[in-house]
Amino acid sequence: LTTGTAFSITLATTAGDHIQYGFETIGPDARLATVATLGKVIIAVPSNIHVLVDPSKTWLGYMNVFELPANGGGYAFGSSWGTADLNATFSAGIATLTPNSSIFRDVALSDTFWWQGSGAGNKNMDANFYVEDSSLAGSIVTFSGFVWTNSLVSPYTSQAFIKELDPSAGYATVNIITTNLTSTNFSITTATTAGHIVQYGFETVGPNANTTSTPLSTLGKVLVASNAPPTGPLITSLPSPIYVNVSSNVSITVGVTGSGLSYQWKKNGVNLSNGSGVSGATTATLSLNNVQGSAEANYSVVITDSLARTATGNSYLVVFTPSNLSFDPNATLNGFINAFYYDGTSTPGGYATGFGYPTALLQASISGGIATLRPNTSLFNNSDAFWSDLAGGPNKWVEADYYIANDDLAGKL
Amino acid sequence: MKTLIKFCRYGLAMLLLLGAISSASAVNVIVDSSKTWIGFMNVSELPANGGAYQFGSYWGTTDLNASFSSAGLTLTPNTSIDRDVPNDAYWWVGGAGGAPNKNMDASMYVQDDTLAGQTVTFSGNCVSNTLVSPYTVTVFIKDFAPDFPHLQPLQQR
Repeated sequence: LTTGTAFSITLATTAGDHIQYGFETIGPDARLATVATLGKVIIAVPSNIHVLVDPSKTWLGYMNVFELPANGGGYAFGSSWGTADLNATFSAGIATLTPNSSIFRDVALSDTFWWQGSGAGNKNMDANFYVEDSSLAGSIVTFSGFVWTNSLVSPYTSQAFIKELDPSAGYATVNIITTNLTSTNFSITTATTAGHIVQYGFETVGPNANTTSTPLSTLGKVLVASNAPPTGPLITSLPSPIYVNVSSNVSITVGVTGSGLSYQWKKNGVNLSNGSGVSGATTATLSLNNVQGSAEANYSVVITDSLARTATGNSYLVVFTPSNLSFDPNATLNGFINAFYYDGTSTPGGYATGFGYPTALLQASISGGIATLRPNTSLFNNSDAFWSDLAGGPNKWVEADYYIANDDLAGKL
Repeated sequence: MKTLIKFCRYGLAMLLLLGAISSASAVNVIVDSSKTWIGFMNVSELPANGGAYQFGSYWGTTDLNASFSSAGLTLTPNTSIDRDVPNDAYWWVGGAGGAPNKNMDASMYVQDDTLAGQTVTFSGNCVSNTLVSPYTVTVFIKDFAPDFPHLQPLQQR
């Protein structure tokens, strides 16, 4: 080790062995009083540098072209490409990576180098979208970001990388660290060597796409950025159940937060379309006109944001026919207790008290559309003289009400 | 054990600037103060006395003497013997006030077995080296077989 000089040693190690690296300082034991005259060695400690998905950097494109894996996967060629041709672009700080379509744009399907007879891509495209920054060399480099979405379909994949090229070895890649963009964020770190070229970015791999037979929208995409994506759609309000009298109109509105939202209402799981008394099937408010008994159903809404994140809510619509009410198990059932004085006879005495009461304590329940009603036991308390005669007998006559409340029926026959 | 202290050449630069499927087994390591650095001292007789190996043991890194600071990693001749046993004739010729009587081989290193099986490159920069003769510093990578009885960097230069 000499002053002002870089060092670099390399060893091919053996799997399963124990590996050590460091320094050995050799010489006689020294006296404290004279050690300063014996000299010292100072080794630089590399700095830690954190790089992000920064659109202000100069992002480059490089395409490596391979044969399809089914054809052996051999390397064909590589060259610098415009980033838009990769396809990789930045917009509002977000990098979008999609399967390559520029070959389809530029090269006729009759070119058998690029296209199979079926019209499918005939090459595997390894599209590199990256920043090259030699000033990072010699540092510990961390590259991190957030994956807003990755909807790529097989066989397309995308990964983040840091690569290190050695100019003295023909620009060979001497160090590469990668991670697939399959999580919500990524972070990779590697130590780099002074004098090398450091690149970091993204590599999207898969066949050149025929966007007529397989539109890009069906192949998916990756969105990555330096910041976390905004929160996905969140339902803040959706009434259920909703009561409506037969032959009335009703609207069901979902409250939701998020951006770039689209809606799809369903009736019992089947997508609704506008028409035949239905409107707003793809909006926040579903409107049903002149509802009949057949309209009684579960109305669900699927909300999708611009990153394809979804939220789903359900609302049950109960249709009442005022002239012919039935005990509808899909309605909300309420509980109420009226207590009367008990004199040991078979009829209640005077009214004592009344109060709302949980249906589970009534004891009343509905399961499979069948209501089960039992005599009340939850109010009896042998130490409470209001409810008990303190000799083990009851002291009140209890009326347990299990009911639907629907004020819309007011004024109806 | 294999020890190599020279540059390694890599394969063809077939994939030019962005070889996507290359060197998956190559890994760089550097002088990273966040790693766990270990101290080990091998003690021998002075070369003038035959240089026979005496013993080796784990030492605290500051006792080597090796330490990290804002300036970097500093390595100096060992003084902890003088600090702890300044009058011991084993360490000093004639005891108190005597000249050094042992040769100190101070190893400051990281052990990372996850590197095994890869081509490891250890690199860095020597800011300064003002050591006077006979003191020397070397940089190393060492590969110990799994059944090697002692993992200390004993006689592995």
